Amino acid sequence: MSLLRVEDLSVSYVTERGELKALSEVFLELNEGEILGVLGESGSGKSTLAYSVLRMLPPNAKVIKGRVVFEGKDLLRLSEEELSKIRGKRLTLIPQNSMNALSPVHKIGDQLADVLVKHEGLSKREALKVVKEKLRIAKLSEDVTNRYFHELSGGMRQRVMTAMSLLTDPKLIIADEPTTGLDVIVQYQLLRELKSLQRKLGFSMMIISHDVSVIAKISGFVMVLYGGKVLECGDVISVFKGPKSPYTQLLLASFPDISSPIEKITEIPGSPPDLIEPPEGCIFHPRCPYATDRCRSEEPPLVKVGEGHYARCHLLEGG
Amino acid sequence: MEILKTIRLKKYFPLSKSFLGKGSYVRAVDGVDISIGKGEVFGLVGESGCGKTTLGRLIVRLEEPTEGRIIFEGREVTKLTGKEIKWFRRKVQMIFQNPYTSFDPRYTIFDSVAEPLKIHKLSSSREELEELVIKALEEVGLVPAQDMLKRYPHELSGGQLQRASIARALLLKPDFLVADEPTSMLDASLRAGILNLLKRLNEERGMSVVLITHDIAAARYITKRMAVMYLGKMVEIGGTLKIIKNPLHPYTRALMASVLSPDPTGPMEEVAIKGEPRPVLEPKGCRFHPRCPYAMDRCRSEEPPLAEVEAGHRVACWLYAKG
Repeated sequence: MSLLRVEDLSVSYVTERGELKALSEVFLELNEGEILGVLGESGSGKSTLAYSVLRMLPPNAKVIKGRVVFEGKDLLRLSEEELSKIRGKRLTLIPQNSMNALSPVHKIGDQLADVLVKHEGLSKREALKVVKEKLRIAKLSEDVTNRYFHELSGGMRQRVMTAMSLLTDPKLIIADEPTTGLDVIVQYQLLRELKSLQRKLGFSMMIISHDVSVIAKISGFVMVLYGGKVLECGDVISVFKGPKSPYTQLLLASFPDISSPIEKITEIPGSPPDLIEPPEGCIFHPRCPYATDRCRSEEPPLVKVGEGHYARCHLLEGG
Repeated sequence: MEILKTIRLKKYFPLSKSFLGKGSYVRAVDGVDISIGKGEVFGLVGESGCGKTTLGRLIVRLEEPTEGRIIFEGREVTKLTGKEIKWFRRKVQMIFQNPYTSFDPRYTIFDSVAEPLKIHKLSSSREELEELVIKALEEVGLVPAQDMLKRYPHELSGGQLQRASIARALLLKPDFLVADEPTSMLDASLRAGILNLLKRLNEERGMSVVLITHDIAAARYITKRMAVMYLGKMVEIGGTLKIIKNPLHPYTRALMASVLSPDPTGPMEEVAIKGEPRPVLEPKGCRFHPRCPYAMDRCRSEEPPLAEVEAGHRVACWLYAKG
């Protein structure tokens, strides 16, 4: 059963220099209990995709076309009132690790309990009981409720954000770079815990990251975004073991892996595209070692390259 | 041949009196002895707060040590004066994590990159200056270099600007480069280019490089030897591959076990250490003991020395103490 379906979504930002095409014609489908990893570098559109689903885009963003269907409802067309019954409740966010995700002057327990008082109409006492339970699930002790956000270490702060995202037993959690900026060991432990929580509780998750390893370790399905376009998608093993688009191939080869022999890592020449004046044809052609004249003029479609595995490249067509 | 060494080097930062009472310090670097060879690429590895950046800044003399000595090419760095300081500033260069904050946003790339040449009066004319800058930009792969001269930092991508910062450091033909997390702000596709560039510059020029990083895979890719730091101390030092394959210190073991590989099939084993380091309240004895699964009584009272376990591989841990 599909829980989330994004159909033909295009989002632009209005900037001084002109329209910045952050996301172009993105489709995705996420079923119950699945984890989708959205992999992309800066400017790939991965955060725009996440915040489109949450309908939390900044004021200069414009949805050009498309739908975001969650549990049968198009979130982009709901009234604020209807949206508030879903967002923060059925659909929650684990934001990127930051110092100011919560207020520094209110106790953590009170802030988390407020969510339940507001969304679920619980009494303060009932709410605190749930808060303590969720903190335990996120491997924090109950007395965190009496502490202030800034007193906690980076790892503990991120665990509080995980607990907060779980308060309302959501169906879908969007995790935006949930472990970026954390230290190696804490990042590893948090990722491992998030994965086991997902298995135990069965929610779906969309995880946004620039880190190839994070996506590899946690996702069941993966979508590779570049310059606002989906260049490849499929189950994580097909995509990582047999990447088909040149960009995915190069991205994976540019990553030094400590478990395999030391080889020269490949560089991707050039820089990411300017999305105000994007290149003609394939968005990746200026940096692609296989680019032909056709790539410079005609945009390739996403083609099926395996069971549930799609990639966007002229080289993959008709053969 | 050794180019640089530190002897019991310390840097303490005082804390304000209201916090934890009078006389508290963060011991960012607390007695570090390292020796770096001519032409060597050396890794300084650890998590945030371990003191690796402070150590790097001490080496290039951006910070004054609280105690201890730094010897570069046989000369005591903290005692250099006048002309010698200028010589040292030429021979030793540093590049930083965030290239956008290491360039003046109002200067063109040419102005910024040419600045050190002007300070050290290494060029006689505008033409010569331009020629040298273009050559340096080409060497780091910023082409067409002519196009870059008139641009401003915000017009370049992070990867391009980091290359420009390397070009600026190279113009003075340094013998020693400290690279502080040079790739951690960059996208994956640009990271590989910077690592390959550092590797090539070391091979072609014989320049010594200290790579400060939390990224074990990057350290493995370009360094031959590395030191692992924890709360201001070195806990392990030795051959990079040896440490990665066979880490001895319990902290290094946890660190290596936590490195994610881009392989979707491998399992995620449990890493058996608790908590996070607390830089201010460092404990008595071994600094790692509150998190260490093997902590014994001795670890709680006595600090372990950095002792040789096998040739070139030293560990600060009582588990490996002989006798």
